[in-house]
Amino acid sequence: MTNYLDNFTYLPNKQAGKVSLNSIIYRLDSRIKFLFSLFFIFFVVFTPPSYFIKFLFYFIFILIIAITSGIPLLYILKRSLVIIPFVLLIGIFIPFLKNGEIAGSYNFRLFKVTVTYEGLVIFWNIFIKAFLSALALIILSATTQFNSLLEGLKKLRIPFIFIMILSLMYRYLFIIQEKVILIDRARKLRSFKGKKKSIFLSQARVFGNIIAMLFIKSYNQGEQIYTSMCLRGFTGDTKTLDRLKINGYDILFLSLSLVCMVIIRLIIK
Amino acid sequence: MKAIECHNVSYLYPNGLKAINGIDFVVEENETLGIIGPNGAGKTTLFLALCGIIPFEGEIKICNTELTKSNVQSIRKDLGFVFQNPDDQLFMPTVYEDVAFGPINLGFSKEKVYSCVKKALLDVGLSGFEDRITHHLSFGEKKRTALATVLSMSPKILLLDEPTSELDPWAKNRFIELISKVEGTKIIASHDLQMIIDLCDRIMLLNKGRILEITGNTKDIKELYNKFNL
Repeated sequence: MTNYLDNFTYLPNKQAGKVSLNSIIYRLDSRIKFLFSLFFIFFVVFTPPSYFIKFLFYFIFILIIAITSGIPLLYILKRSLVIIPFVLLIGIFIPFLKNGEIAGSYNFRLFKVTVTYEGLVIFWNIFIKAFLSALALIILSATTQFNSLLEGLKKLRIPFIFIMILSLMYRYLFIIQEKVILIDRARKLRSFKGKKKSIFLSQARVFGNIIAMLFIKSYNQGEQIYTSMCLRGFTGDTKTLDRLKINGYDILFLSLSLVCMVIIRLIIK
Repeated sequence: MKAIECHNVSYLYPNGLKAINGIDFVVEENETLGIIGPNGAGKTTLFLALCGIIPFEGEIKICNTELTKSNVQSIRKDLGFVFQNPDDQLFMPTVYEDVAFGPINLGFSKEKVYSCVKKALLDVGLSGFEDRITHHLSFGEKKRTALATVLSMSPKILLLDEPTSELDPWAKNRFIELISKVEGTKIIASHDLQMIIDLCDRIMLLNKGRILEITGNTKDIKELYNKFNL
């Protein structure tokens, strides 16, 4: 079964009691949730890295939102781990390369490695900001059905072409994923170790072919969809439906959240 | 009135293969034409040419209007093409939005769009599916939704490419019943000979891009295959 981003917003999960139907966050308008996430990310990103207490409060704040949403905390934390490879890729060498006050130095025979405080602060800066932003986005995607998020974005005047790309990407990502699973199954059923020592190495060429084939398949699928859109009168115009409504609770939630974030940013030292 | 007229229609693939070659036929209004033939006979290519998707040679008239580059958009309003694979046809997040895509593009008012979608979903037996996510539907439901996306535009001519392929016998019977209830001109390309016998007034046998025979004698359909050694 494919694991959709907005899995928790579907009925079977709700009925299984995994999430609370009455959660305030679920009932919020998707635009409000999107704006909340955007503001939260802005506040986090524009906070200097040395204000450790502020980051602690931001973390507590987003944790309260996560608890209120009723999504299992373990699920949110697990999902947030996906950012770690990216953070490591960007920041792992900074503590070793940045000049400044030396925090420690290590000798590996020919090489001498030093870690600086300035480098560590930059690494911390990347890590904590990426982590907190990821938490906000996970809560947004887990509590909002993707189509209502897209509808919200349309209402926020995000250019239609971006929304269309997002919509098609989300729609077809899972179809391509299913294709990958099927192709991989077919590959496994006909893959044998034979005389070779490593099945992975012997299959490297096969993986290359699979990737190329997926590229062609997705290209063909794109062509078909465009044909289907043209046949139903698509000319590139922005014609959409209008079904979202903001109520008093939505405004109250956004205002209170903004007040909290401003307090953390300006008052807490 | 003639719904479709094709005169000497051909299409050459970029690799030099002639997918359809000198196709000549006429479909009367409210007639159901079945197109049969082996894989690669040119059935889908013919449909694409009728919709003006591929640049064909020859002449195609839809409802007495010649299909040209300049009027292809307006002519497509009269045509409803249901693809073989519903995943190629359903691209919006929810069933409602997908079925509403055509009517919205036709410039209908919000109320008219709503009533068109409601009616189309009712016709295909999917009332109440409006907020369902398209990629969570079963294959049979996707097929019916794909039909609804076209019916919501009330086309005069319905083109169905392999409508019953990959459906279980129950879903297949239900889908055939649905098609039989749809009014208007229909062209059905299929390998399902029994369905063609049940639904069609005339049959066209295609092979290697050429018409081998067009006959009104639908009962002897299997003999047609034998006659041409297919």
